[in-house]
Order: sequence, then structure tokens, then C-alpha cells
Amino acid sequence: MTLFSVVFFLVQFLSLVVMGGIVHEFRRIEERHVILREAVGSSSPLGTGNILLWCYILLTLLLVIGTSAFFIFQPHLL
Amino acid sequence: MPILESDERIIRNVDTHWMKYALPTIVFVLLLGISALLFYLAAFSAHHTMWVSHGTFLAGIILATVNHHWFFHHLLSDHFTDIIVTSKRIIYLRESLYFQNDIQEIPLRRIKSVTGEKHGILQTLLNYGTLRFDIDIGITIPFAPHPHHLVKDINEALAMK
Repeated sequence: MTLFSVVFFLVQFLSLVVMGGIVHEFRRIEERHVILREAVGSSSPLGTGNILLWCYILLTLLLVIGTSAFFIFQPHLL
Repeated sequence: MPILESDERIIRNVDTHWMKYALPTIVFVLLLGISALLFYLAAFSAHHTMWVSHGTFLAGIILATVNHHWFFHHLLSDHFTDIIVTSKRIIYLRESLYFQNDIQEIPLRRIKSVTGEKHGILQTLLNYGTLRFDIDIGITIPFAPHPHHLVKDINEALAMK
């Protein structure tokens, strides 16, 4: 059970680390694209990207919190 | 980084067609279904075989987590794919977070001809296709929205050069 818990929480921790990495890289590329679009004199419709990013952040948190809550409070199901 | 020359102007700036998200979405839904089945199997076998239950629960968690991050990585990367047509060149931007950062510039003087292809019922109905350039190296741009309009714009720019 201990090994099972360690693996479970390691997966959850890695999930948050990966999310942080993806959000950081997305922001970096977004910044570069705004500069690029300005350089070529084009408008920057990046709104959809922000919506996608927030969906990603919220769903990741929901996945981590939901599965952790299930794991902690419903162990009799396993 | 491409910067416009003084006599260069933007003719068209388009994002690639939303159909680029279709295949990853189908794979995502399928894998989501498999992880749901694994969770169900974990709950179903909980009172009979504990280790099978633990194994399938962990497999379900890992599959759901990897699938979730892979899907959004795909979505967020594809968001940055752009086609910019100017009076002097075509700029094709492709990004994949951490894996790819491509800026392809095709000067109009190198292009002999350009074709827009729409193959199949989906491409015809949803108005997207592939742009193919006749130059020294083969360059194709998939998921181009309204490829025939883009070809028309590029041909007009070619006629003006």
C-alpha cells in the first residue's frame, strides 16, 4: 500500500511539474509570436490560446485534486 | 526573425484550419475511454483481488494523466501555426512546445507555381486542403484554410513581382 501511495503521489506531482513546464513554454512562445506579428505588421489574435491555456490549467488541477481526493477519502473502493 | 521590407505588404495572415485538432481529439477520447474502463475494473475487482485492483487503478491514473498532457500539448502547440502571405514571400510558422520551432520563409521569386489541393469529402465540405509549391525543395503546407483563395492571392503576388 505504501509503494502504491508513493507511485500515486509521484504521478500527481509530475503532472503538476509538466503543467508548469508547458505553461512556461507557452508564455515564452506567445511573447515571441507577439513580437514576430508586430515585426511583420500583423494583428495578434491570441485570445483562443489563452482560453485553451486556462482550460488546460483548470482541467489539470481538477484531475489532480479529484483523483487525490478519491484516493484519500475512498480507499475502501480499492 | 522576418521583418517587413519598406516596399513589402501583408496580403493575408491566416491560422491553419481547425481540422488539425480532429485526430488528436479522437485519440484523446479513445484513450479517455480506456482509462475510464481501467478505473471501473479497479473498483470492480477491489473486493476480490487487491493487487489487480491497485495495478489497474495506477494504470488508469497514468494513462489519464499522460493522455491529458499529450492532448493539451498538441492543442497549445498547434495554436501557433500560421501562414503569412506578403507581397515578397510566404512565411510558414510551426511550433511544438519544447520540440520544434520552425520559421519557413519562401521568397516569391523562387516559386514557379503553387497549387491548392482539396482531397476527399471532408476537405471539400470544410474548405481546407494542402498548398504545394513548385520550388527546388518540396514544401507543402497542410490544413490550409480556403486553399484556392490562398493560391489566388499568391498568384496575384507572383504576377506583381
